[in-house]
Amino acid sequence: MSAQQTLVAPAPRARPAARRGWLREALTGWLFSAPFLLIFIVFLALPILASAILSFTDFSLGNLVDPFSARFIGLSNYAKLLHDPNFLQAALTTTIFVVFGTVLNLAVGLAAAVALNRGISRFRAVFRVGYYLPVVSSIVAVAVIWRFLFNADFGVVNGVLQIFGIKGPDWLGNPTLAVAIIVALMVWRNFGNAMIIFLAGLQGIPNDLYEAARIDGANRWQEFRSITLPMLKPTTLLLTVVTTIGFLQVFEEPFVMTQGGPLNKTRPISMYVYQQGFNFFHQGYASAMAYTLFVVIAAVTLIQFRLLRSET
Amino acid sequence: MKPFGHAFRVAAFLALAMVSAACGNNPNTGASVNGPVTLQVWANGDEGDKLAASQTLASFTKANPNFTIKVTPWPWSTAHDKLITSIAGRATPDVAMIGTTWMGELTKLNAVTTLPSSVNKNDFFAGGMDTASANGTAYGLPWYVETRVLYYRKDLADKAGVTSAPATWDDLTSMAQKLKSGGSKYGINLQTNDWQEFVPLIWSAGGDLMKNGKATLDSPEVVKALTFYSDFFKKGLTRSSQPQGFDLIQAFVTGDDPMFISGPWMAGLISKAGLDQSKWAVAHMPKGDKSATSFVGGSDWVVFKNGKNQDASWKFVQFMTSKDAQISWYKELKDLPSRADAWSDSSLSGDPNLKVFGDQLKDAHSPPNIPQWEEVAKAIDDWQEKACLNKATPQDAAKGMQQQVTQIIGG
Repeated sequence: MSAQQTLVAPAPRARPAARRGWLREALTGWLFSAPFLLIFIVFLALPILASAILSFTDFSLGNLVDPFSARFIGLSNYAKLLHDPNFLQAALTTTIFVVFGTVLNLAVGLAAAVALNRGISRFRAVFRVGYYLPVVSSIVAVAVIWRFLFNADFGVVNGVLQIFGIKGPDWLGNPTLAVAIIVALMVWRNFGNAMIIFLAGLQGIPNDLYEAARIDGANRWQEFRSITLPMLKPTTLLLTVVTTIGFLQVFEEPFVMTQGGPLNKTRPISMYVYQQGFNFFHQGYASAMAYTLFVVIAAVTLIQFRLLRSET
Repeated sequence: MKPFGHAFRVAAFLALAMVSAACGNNPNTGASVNGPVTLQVWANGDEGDKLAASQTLASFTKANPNFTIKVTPWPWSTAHDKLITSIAGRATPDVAMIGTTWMGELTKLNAVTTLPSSVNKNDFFAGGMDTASANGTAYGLPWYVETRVLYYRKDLADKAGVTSAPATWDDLTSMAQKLKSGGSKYGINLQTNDWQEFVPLIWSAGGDLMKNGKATLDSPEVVKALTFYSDFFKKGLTRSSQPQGFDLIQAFVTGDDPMFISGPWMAGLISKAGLDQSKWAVAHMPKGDKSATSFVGGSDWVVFKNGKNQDASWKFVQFMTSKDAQISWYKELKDLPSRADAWSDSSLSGDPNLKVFGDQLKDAHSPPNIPQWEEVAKAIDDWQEKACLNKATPQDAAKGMQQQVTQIIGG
């Protein structure tokens, strides 16, 4: 009691009644935050801690009913994943998804934002809603439609190609094309977010800069290169960080479109973690992979934040 | 002192509500077989969907009015993971219908009870009983069995000059070729990564998946089976990929895919799609070097150790696997009875297609009941796909299987 009081020393002029008021306020605060704290501790903090411990054990199927019989095996899980061709393939797939996905996501998001900000004056609200709609639509419904679009035999895409006399490929059956389609789906589904944030960034650029440039005789492209892009740098870096983190954990798009196939070429790390952890129940190994992914995300984020800080 | 303020009371209520919601309480289901009994039954796929409203179940509850059967249906795609998770969370049902390759895991988890000694195992087909056992002990009872045979378009085969069903592997390849050159889009429908289609070929070639707990997947027999299977893809006799939700029945009816290998449930679907019985037929699997072996599947009933009503559960399972229930279930869903005496019923013995399945059941294996089976199956699928899509030679794929499976099962 006294320790607490010294820790949070009351203001010098405080009277006993005020101290009682403080205590009641603190209790009220804790009680209000209790629902969140309970959920956070039980469903987030404890599992995170548990999986950290699991990643150093050989926890697997047999331990499900007797968790404490799992043995500590040090860093063996981490050593194993460096030699697991399936994990390396998943890491490569994730890298492809992140690099192409992030670049395209930002490019498309920026293009849409610029178009909405300056070019399109009619039906602006319709376009805004239209571009943002994929972000809020259900991935399962979207995947059904995309699978139909790219169906090799009766898909719309191949149907259109047919009109021009081109025999369309087996989109989702070809590993390279399947990866491309997943990236396209990821971008289509997420660029609305980038667009909204870019729009906010664009509206924060003072108009006098453009006026000054126009007086100096700059054309539209020069304005974009020398004013819009540099002024959007903080926004761009923020979006890069957020998108990279999101895409490093990509799961839904390949899961509903291809289940990781063909040849496991569209299986990212998160899906391999899921298979190892919940199909085969190698939860020790899966935890080690999840933590590796976590470290990579943390490292990438740190690098990007450094860049962000030095540039602003 | 002033009593707690309004805000405090709201907060306290919220916190309390959270705690009581988190705790919950278990309904007490403890009762003997004589008193009222509620059994939680999990069943999968079509059977799961139809069990609750079935005549078969109605006749059980009519004879045992003190029983309440609560059926929870699961799709096959999630049933396995759901069941394992329920074991880990000690929230198993009393009785569950399981896939024929799951017993290794369930016994490793020490989750299911052994078969009561009063049950006569010899009443059931040996292949089906194998799937309900592990390490020589029976834990469940086969509910229904199924085996895979060759379906083919008789009319198209006649047109292509093939007058009889293929007897050997070579016959199957040449028949597929003739059907394709006869105007069909493909010769046969096979999948790049389906161990259930591929593994029986290993058995037919005289090989096996493992022996004495060690993988035997780099044997010449496995290479031979992989070569035979992947050649269909390399020669363009089958689709190189199938989109999710691919409608095989439709492709069979249109004649695009005039042959495929599948189980008894397809017969009803083909008839329903409107293809006349004179235009198609089923045939015994073609013979490899050693045999013409197929895959035996179906499902088994198990009773969980966590269940409070194990005697009542076994009573239910024994009813579902009794002769009368099996015949009535066959009439409802066309699931093949797992016990031989049910096959003498006129509803089964009068069907010519069923004779093929009955014969094939005499030469049908199931994969070994090891706890790591799901993972082994995925490894086989992966390497089979590489061989079919020409990313690995059959030799390399066999070596890859051997290496990966050895790593999985150890030893």
